[in-house]
Amino acid sequence: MLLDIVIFGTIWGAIYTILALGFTLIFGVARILNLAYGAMYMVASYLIYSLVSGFGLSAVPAWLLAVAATSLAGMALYRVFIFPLRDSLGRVLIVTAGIAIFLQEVAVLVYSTEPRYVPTALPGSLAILGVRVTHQQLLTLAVAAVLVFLLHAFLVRTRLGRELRAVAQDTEMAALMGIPVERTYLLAMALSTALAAAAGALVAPFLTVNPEMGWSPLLVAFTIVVLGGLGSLWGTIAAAFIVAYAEMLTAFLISPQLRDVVTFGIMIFTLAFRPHGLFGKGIVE
Amino acid sequence: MSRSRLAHILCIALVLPALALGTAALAQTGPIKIGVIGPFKLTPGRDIQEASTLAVEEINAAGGVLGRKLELVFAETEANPEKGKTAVERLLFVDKVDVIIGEHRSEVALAVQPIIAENKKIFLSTGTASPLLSENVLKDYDKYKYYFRTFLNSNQMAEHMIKQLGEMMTTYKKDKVAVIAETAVWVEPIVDSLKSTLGSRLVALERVSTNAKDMSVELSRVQNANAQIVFAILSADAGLPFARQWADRQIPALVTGYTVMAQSDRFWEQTEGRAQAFMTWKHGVRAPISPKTIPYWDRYAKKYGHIPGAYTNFATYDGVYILADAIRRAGNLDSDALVKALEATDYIGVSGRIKFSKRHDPEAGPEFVPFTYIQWSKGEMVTVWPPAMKTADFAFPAWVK
Repeated sequence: MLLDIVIFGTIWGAIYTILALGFTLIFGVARILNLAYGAMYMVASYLIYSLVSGFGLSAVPAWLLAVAATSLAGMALYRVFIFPLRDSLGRVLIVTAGIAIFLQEVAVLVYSTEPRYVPTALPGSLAILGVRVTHQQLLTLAVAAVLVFLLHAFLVRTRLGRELRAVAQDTEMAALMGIPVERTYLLAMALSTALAAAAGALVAPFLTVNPEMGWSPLLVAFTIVVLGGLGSLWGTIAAAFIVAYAEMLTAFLISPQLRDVVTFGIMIFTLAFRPHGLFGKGIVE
Repeated sequence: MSRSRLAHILCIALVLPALALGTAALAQTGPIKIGVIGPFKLTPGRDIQEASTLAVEEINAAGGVLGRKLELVFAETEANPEKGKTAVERLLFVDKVDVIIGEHRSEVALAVQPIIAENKKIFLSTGTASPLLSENVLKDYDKYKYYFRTFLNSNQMAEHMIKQLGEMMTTYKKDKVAVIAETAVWVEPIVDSLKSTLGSRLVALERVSTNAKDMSVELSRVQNANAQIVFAILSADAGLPFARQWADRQIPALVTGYTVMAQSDRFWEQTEGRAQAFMTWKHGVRAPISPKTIPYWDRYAKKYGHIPGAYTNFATYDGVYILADAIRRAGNLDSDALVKALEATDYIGVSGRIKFSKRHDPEAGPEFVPFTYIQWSKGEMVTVWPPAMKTADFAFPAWVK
């Protein structure tokens, strides 16, 4: 039992890290609370389904294409709908919620509510200390680790990454220093939606794809950002693993049905008693 | 009053009743309208739509009923009670249907049953299992006598599923059972029966929501409890990750029970072949249940390019024929006359012999509607239980000893 909690907690922690990093990136840099974030995760999963079942692509090229296409779609959404309203957090919330519901309904019309599946890149499983884990889940863990490493390297070692961090820290000062703020926002949106899409691509093969699948990841991402606080990569990673282990502990020791209750509980308690989160600047400021 | 004005009034007074009589006559010679409700984008709904269409085409080709054609009017419920109510109200008040059939989700049927009953129309449900629906017939016959069902209720399912489980446990010497059951109104009687029958042999009971997407925790708990058989009761999407993860993680337990998604012709493709040796109860199999069964199966497969998928299929096809038969015997569409005719039904359909009980459910058992189980084998659905109907032997998954 303990090993199950550790192993599955680690796998879900990795998935949640990817999800939350994308969500916190766009909020941290551009102060955009993107409620269509989960919808991007859903769109990527359906794109993979279509590319594989409709166009006969194999899993990995389909993943890469879907992540790229979703990222472009995220940039387009930003330019067309979010950019004109960006100064009002409330209006951005409403428009992104609208986009999420719109995309969900489009998915219903195009694919129906029948669950779809995304093929696994690596079929089969192996036993780790007696706990059987699918190769797909292990691949997810590995890819998530690589993505975190690449994101960290990008933010720390590249000029664009440093510009992103500068805008996140102080937009006005960054603008005065000649950093193109709008381009940086667009880059943040592209990276953010790419991470949402990557998470969808990694998870879809061992779950199912359906039009409502985006809401639960959105809740998880929001909770992690609230708990981890803004502006801290490591804070986000720590919070992702805290949420994942808390969910697994509850699921294994009490009932799997309480997973979402735990996530909501963490969010409510953090907002009420530690609004600045555990590690960084608070989301409530 | 001038003479011309009087003449106008007289004209209107004569024309209006004539128009009304004409409309009534047209209604009696026009098609008999059958409202069909269901979630048509899901497999159970698709099968309701396709099976009812095929039945109506056949009946109309043979001359219709009482010299009139049958006409289907479809109303989408999306498996949602509120949308179901809207769909039924549209059928009753806008389309003015004569009878209503269909629906697979009990929650929807429970929501629309009072509306249809208050309007004194026949409601023949062809996929719902909650006993509450037919208990209403027993409790308040005058109001709910218009409700009938060609599908089995959960109590009947529990009785026959537990019988099959017992035989499986004895035959293969397995005595530790885990139950994975979704939280839904139709499931509770089955879970209660399993708990009381299995006692200490029930080593794990996992309840999942109808929109569960991941089954990894439940399967780990089942494995940690050393279960040898998993009895699944899953009507929603969770059946897909359950089967995929069961095979990928090689959970060392046989599967039985009732997984609705595994009845679908798409299941093999959806699981990428992981459904090998996955077993489920299926209402409607390609087996010699009645002389009509195999010809219907083949006719259906030829028409639609896929085999009958969900449990709603046979129940709907038989349901349309039973309604047509009752209308013929009643001689008209009066709902009270139809109730009497339906109560007297003794019909050999594709799903077996159908006679309605006092609560208007079909009688179940070998001489009526038999309980049949399929197992997936190399991309095919084969019938493995009961022995009298089997088309192949039950096979163990490669990783189960």
